Amino acid sequence: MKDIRIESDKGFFGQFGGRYSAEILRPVLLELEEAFCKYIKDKNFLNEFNDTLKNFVGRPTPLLFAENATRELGGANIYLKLEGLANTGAHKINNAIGQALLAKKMGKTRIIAETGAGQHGLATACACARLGLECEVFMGEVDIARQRPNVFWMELFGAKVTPVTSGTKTLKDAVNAALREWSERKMDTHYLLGSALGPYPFPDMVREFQSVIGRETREQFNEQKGGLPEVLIACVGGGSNSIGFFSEFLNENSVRMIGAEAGGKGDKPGENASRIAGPGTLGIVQGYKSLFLQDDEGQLLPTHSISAGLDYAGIGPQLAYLAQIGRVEFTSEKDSEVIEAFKFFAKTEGIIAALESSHALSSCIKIAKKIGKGKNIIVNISGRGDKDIFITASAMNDNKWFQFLKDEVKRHEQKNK
Amino acid sequence: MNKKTNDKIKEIKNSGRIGFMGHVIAGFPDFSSSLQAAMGICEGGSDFLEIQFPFSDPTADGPTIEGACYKALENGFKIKDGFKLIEELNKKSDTIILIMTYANIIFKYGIENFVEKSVDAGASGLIIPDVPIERDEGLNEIASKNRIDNILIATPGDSAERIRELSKAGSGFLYTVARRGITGKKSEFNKEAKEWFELVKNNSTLPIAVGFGIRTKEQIRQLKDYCDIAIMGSHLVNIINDACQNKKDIKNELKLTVENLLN
Repeated sequence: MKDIRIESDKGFFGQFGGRYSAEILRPVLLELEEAFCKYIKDKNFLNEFNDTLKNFVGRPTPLLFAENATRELGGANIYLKLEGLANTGAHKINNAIGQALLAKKMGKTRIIAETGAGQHGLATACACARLGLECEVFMGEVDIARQRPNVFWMELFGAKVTPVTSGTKTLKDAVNAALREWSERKMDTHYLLGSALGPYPFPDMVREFQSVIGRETREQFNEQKGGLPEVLIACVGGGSNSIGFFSEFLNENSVRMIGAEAGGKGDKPGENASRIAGPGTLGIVQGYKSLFLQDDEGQLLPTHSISAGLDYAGIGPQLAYLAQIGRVEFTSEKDSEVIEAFKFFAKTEGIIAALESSHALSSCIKIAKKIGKGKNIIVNISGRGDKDIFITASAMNDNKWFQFLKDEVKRHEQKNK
Repeated sequence: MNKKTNDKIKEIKNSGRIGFMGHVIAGFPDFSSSLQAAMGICEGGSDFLEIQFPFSDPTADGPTIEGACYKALENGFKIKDGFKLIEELNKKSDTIILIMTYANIIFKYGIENFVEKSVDAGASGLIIPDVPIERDEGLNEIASKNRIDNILIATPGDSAERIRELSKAGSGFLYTVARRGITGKKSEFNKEAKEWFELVKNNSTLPIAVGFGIRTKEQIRQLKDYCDIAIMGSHLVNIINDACQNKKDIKNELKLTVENLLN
């Protein structure tokens, strides 16, 4: 197999990617490209980035041999990369720190960001608090409603959380709102995009800042077990955790890579967010060319996933390319399977995975048995699941939890009387 | 340049006036209301009419137009309705029709197919803000082959060189925006805007249209020193919306609005 190019070729991964932005964003994207290309090779910048990852984010995050789960499933050895143990509870902080530092080098004083599950918004708000930058986060109204805890924390960090009430009121609309805000105010503002998508240079930049996940994993696995794993599995929304996890291994032909997409409630349009495992087709939306869930007329379709972070109609261009050339396989995991996987790893390993990451765990359960003993699978647990307690408690029909919420509201009201 | 557009701009220049371009969203709030609104704008004396084909993710538009696009899509807008709207208008009016939409709409439809259908329907130009000249998917060549203008957009922040580049690559006229940012907010011209207009005027080899944020007759009059065509977008969308909400005669409302602006 020919070597796979990790960086884009002038913004393109095969036919995917590019910079299809309105003219208004062209100057600021060129400025960003120039700064990124300069600083990603700058020793002082990288030292500062790595120091912050170590001392503030808490890297390296552990690689855990999931002994109990391995035994119970009776198949391949399962290893878990615990990105959820990073500050703010997910891999999103790696990119947030990287871009916030870069924005400071560029002389920007204000950061805007979009967020779906709230993890990227939370990470951005956290990075801004730490680095002394003003922060505004755009978040769909639907996502605000289902991820209130993250909104609370973002506001604690001093960020302004602006509800997006247009369109489907989820992640894609938050991206639109942030792009629009950036068009209006770009002199002092950097748009800190959280996923490996959007116009060039974002897909390259986000992958580079997330690639620490794969580099650590390789070293840790080699230390613990020796050699390379047979399989890597990560969940895929836009694709930031998966591309950061995979990129280090792309040219290791023996390593199989699997992206787990949101299978949602079913196969009908609007019931899931499976682009590659589902019926995604080529389109040009939000500044990049990739596969999107869209109708025959090019209108994006609504999506659904139990996890807000995977609830998005497009996929990062590099992953679309890697799927096309057969380097990364994609599966689709149903909401109900995801909850089962979530419960299984909580019970066997004491790990509360985010619902996003539980998609990768669901895929792991299926594959571990299939590929059999002696082989090694590493799953990237991109985030921890504390933030999902309202959703998981509801999915598990835990009435005691909802009684607690009612009582809590009563206690609060009595206190304020 | 498309012949109709060329003749029209010559006529505008010769008569020493400023041209006017209105804007409607096809299918907003429904097909027949949008046709009525478009007819009103044409009858009011608009030289050009920009017809926007709604897209689910219109990142270059402000909230007013975005909201109108969603409404049109909710009410079942299909691309064929947009072409039908243009055909209907062409039967009754000689206002020059331009189609504005986003990359994904024409890309998914097939650019060649979309351009041919646009010409058949009677459109004279296309305005696609998120198709950059560096990677235009063949749009410029296909448009030129079909004698329809590919109208490009210049925005504040563009250098003199970039303005020359855009006016060389595009055709019809150069579409420029008056303010930093998107459609629909605030409105008088400040020093920065005037400097920007001068820069465009001094570097564009094409006629110039200026839009984004225009609301009043006075603003149109002021623009005469800088450009050939004044574009009114979200303000007209608001008037259409108001006319529909208050069950007014849409066509007449829009006709009166445009007449008042131009006389």
